[in-house]
Amino acid sequence: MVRLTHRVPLVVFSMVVLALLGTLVTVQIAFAHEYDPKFRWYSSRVTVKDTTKSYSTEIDTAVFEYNNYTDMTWSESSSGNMVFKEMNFGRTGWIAGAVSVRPVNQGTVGCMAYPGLTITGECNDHDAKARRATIYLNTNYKTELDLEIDNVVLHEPGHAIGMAHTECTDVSVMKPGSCGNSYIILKPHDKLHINSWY
Amino acid sequence: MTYRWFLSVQRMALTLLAIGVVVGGVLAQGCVGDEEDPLATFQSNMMIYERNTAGSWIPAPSTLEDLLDKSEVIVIGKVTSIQATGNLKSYNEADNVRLEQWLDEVEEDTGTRPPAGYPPYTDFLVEVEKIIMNNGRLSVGEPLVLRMLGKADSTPPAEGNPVRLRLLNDGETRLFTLGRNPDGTYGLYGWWSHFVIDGNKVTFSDDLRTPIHFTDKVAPADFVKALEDAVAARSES
Repeated sequence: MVRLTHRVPLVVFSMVVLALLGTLVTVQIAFAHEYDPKFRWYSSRVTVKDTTKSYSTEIDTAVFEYNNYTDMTWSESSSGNMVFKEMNFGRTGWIAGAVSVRPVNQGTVGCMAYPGLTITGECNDHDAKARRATIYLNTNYKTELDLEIDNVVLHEPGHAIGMAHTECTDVSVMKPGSCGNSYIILKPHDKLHINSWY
Repeated sequence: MTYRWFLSVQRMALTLLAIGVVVGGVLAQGCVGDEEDPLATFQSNMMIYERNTAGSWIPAPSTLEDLLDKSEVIVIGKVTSIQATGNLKSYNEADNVRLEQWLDEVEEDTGTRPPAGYPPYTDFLVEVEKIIMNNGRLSVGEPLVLRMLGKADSTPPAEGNPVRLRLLNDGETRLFTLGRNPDGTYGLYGWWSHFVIDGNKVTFSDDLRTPIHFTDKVAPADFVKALEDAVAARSES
């Protein structure tokens, strides 16, 4: 009995490990399909420059969300390194896209994909770190943009800091816009990834 | 005594393991959807195009009415040739002249200008064979210019390529649901805006020939008739 009593801390420790293991295994199963693009922002600080005419309130909210609910530090500045920009690209099929820029003279890290061309491999399959990014809002789809803007201002920066699309069934702001029912606040899925990287 | 102690510890360990699984399940629930979406299966199939991309793509229509809402013109047309290719550009809001503004900005940022044709677009000439919904600018027998993102290439998408949409080939006939660009060219409202109508069933014009999901009128003639009826009903109301 005395000997067993000495083992109590070890037993308790083992039980805690088992409990944690149960938790981790279950969560890991949930993330089994997750595709980590490896691509990252160069630091845990992001400064956002808002050049839009119509979406300042939503961008403010997105910056607040990332700053307050992740381990990253987000702020707004006229010399920001993540720029929101409205442009009319015509009927392209997409309402917004993110283009990230590598360090000096390293070219772009294009994160868009097009029929006949996959730029995503360039973006997602290496561990490049972006120093700047531009979030393009395609004003040719003003109606859709107005409807989806709360998600878009979270979703596109998500790409710039390294998050790939999830499946439609996932509870994440990184669900593709084409899934519908987009989320407009960062979900546990998103925070977990961001906080594990920054 | 020792055996009881062992059983007790064993029970506690199993209980804690069970708690761990439950907690894990609850956490995982935050990441995995719990929503019943009637389009889930269809959209899940679509994800082969969407994964790992950064564009927020326009969702496919959920009803025939939704399709009409997302169309300025609906035509059946035949691709006759490629008119132009080049870099994706934006439009100046004032005069609709196409700009390379964003390419200039990339060059300023990086000291390197993206190469010609990056990212690409292709202008196809499409001869209009039938007009189902007109914006007053189209005539049967006349061409329209269809601008698509991507580089014209008849090579089938590689296995594992996340973007299995392909561009059009000369001689292909499709049913297009289009929007008009500021410079008078036309563009797909969404990636799904061209349909194959020369088989037994209408499909999306993707590499997988995915069946349409937003109407039960899936025979090509029935689908066209349903569209015509819906357009007529709108013009009467």
